[in-house]
Amino acid sequence: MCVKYVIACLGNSLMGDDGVGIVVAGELVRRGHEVIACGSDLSPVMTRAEQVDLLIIVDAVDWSAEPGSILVAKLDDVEERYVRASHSLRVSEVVELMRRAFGRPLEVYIVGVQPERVEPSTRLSPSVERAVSGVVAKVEELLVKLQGNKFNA
Amino acid sequence: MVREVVVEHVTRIEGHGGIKVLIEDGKVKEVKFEIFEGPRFIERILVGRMYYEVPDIVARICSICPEPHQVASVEAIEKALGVSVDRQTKMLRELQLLADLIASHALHLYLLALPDYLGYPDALSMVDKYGREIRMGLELKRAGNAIKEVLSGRSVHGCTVKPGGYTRTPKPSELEGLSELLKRSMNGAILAVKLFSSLKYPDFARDENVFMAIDSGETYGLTGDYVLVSSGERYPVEEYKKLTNEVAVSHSTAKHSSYKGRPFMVGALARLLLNGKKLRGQAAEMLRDLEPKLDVLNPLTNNLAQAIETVYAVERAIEVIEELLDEGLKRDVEVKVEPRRGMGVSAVEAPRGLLYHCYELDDEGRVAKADIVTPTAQNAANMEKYIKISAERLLSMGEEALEGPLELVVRAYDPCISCSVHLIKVVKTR
Repeated sequence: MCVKYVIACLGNSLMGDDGVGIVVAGELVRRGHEVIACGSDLSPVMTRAEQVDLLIIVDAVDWSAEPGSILVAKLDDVEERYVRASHSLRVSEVVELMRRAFGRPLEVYIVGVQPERVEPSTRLSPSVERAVSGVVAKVEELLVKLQGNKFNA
Repeated sequence: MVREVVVEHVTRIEGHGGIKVLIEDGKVKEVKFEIFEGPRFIERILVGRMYYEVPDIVARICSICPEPHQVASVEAIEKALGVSVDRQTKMLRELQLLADLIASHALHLYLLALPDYLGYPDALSMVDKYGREIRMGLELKRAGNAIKEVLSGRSVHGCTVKPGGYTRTPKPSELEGLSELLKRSMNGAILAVKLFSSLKYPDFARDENVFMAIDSGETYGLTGDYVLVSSGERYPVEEYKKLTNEVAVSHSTAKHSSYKGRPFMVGALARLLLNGKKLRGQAAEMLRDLEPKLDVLNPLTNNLAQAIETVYAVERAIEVIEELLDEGLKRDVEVKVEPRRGMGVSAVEAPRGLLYHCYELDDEGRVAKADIVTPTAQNAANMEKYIKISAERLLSMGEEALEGPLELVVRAYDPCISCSVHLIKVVKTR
């Protein structure tokens, strides 16, 4: 039995690199994944809480790395300051609400991209655009790893 | 002695704002509802864009209510271009507005407003004791989100809405699935009415008010060609500037509105007051039973109005889906749109109240001028009025006593606040 997972892609595609999550969403959908393209509102993810065991969040995350760098981290292992860059509804609050309301041990991973420019623009900067295929690969690696090791019955 | 009671940060999506209450010699001297979010220049960004790009851009004004912005924009553009759409398109747009109302009210009632009344700082703190309520609220929101996903491709900032119609027609099986989801979510809507009708609403904010809502015609609805004012007037939406009379104020990047010199309120309470007699079904019965509790002098009862309206929205959404399925979904109903010079105004009811979109197009169909008036901006002056009244009445209880009540007044208007944690601190200036 495979894990029930949701990939939540966050971002505003009118704000330059902040929209990287939405670009990744398009790639993942083309590759057959079900994705929630949340825009700048994480709350749609909460409504799936009773249905999922694994949540992967894709977003621009500022952790002062080289632009285009990719961060893969388990939410419970990162400090809050690492995951609040783009959207003020804190990821940890949403996740905690989901876990406690439905009593499910939801696993959450962040796949983040260090933005170069967050400013009014419909284009990604070159460094972030080059990172898109890498982000897609990281998400799929994560799914294979987690489904293979822990979630497969 | 001069003191300030300061609300540092009260909004998230519609704008970043705060409240400042200036107290001098034991009296409330001045109240400011400060919206200090940087201007986003959406109206300016639209200038020069083709008419068909508008709905995707205006959706970005708000992630909670992109659908009202999209529907208002395409209707205004269609008026400017002299385009009429068919019944199916109108029904799908109504369904989008209903979906947004369900999702937005569910979020506000269960996760943002309820903690205030149950004595918790936020939803997370109350989830262990009120897990059932949170789950039912989320199920209700899920129904709204699911409709959004089917009709516009995604639950936030959908991308199928265009002048003349939709780029995708839903499948009958998708609509049937939505109908089942809505029927299950009705329990959450009814529970919201039970919860919010059992609350005792404080009366510190009671005062005469002016209300505005769309004239929805013979039945309760979210669209129309005229606006009703509680003082008895009725204006065509094209004359919206006579109703809003926006002025810039120095302490806010949102303009303030007034009608005949008085601030006014838009939103669920205004809609039920001005159109409530047109309701049918369970929502009509609930309004009849609970009308004494809907105190039009007290903006705090807007939360109860939202709950009753959620029942309406679920009932009506089920009805619209049944009608669409009965009539059969037609493909390729998109109307051909020819660019031309023109001007159009549209008003729809967003969850927080009246929303106006006005566009002037040039000969090629490019936007020459855009004007968008949001409900939160219209309510800003009204909120300021009731914050001042509340502060004056509660000041004798001490500055600390202002904190909770002022937050309550702000939240009653549902100005897109989500991060509702410890918003107020008292700052001594001297």
